[in-house]
Amino acid sequence: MVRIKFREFDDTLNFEGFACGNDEIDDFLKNKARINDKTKFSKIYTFTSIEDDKIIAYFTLSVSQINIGDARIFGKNNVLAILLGQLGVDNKYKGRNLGKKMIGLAVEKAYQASKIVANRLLLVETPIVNREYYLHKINMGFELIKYDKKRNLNILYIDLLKYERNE
Amino acid sequence: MSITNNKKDKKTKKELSGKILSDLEEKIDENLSFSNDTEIILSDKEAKDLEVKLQDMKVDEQTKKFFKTTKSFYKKLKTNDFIITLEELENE
Repeated sequence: MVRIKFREFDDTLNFEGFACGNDEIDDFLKNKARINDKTKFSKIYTFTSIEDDKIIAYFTLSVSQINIGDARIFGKNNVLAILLGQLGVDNKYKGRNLGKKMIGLAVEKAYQASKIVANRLLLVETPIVNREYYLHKINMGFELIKYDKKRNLNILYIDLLKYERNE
Repeated sequence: MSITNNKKDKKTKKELSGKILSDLEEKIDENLSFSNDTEIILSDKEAKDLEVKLQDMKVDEQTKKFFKTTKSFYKKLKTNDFIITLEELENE
């Protein structure tokens, strides 16, 4: 039985050997997580192995906003949101439900934050190939905001108000 | 004859879309990355569409289930000092 703990990132955690198959996400954990945590530019949540404090999966949350040129949404020219910036599962632990559970935990944490400082959405970005999966296959309430043609990426969101109203 | 063919076509399409989705599922690598340096700017149409969506509070049954499961999973974690076994998490 492997016992794991959901916890906030701190300096004592061991991230050596973490490899999720995406260089950017690996690099963030190894080289940027500490400074982002200390400067409060990103909040980092992890699953660690109890045995050795090794990080086996992590995600980051930070504040963001969607800008709306001359148009207005509810009379405002921006919508406040929480950005799910990085989410990675170590290759050795893939296929064990950690990815989906961490998206759920990101929603819960973003919702808790929205009770203190208003924000409406949890944002994620996915490659075009994964769009159908997130929008129609996994039923987590993802909706499409926009398709970024230049970068060939989709920006999706989960509405935290809907999450709140469905106790 | 044509009805049979239509049924066959529909079945094939269904099987095909199921296969595409399952192939897609295999490709999901449980990683997501979104640079905070990217400014998100919506066009007028995208803004209008978003406003309409944010007014619509309807949630389908499966999403409701996901929301409920997420809340109860978080409560369970909290009760257990945020400790869980991988095997338990897998079956959640």
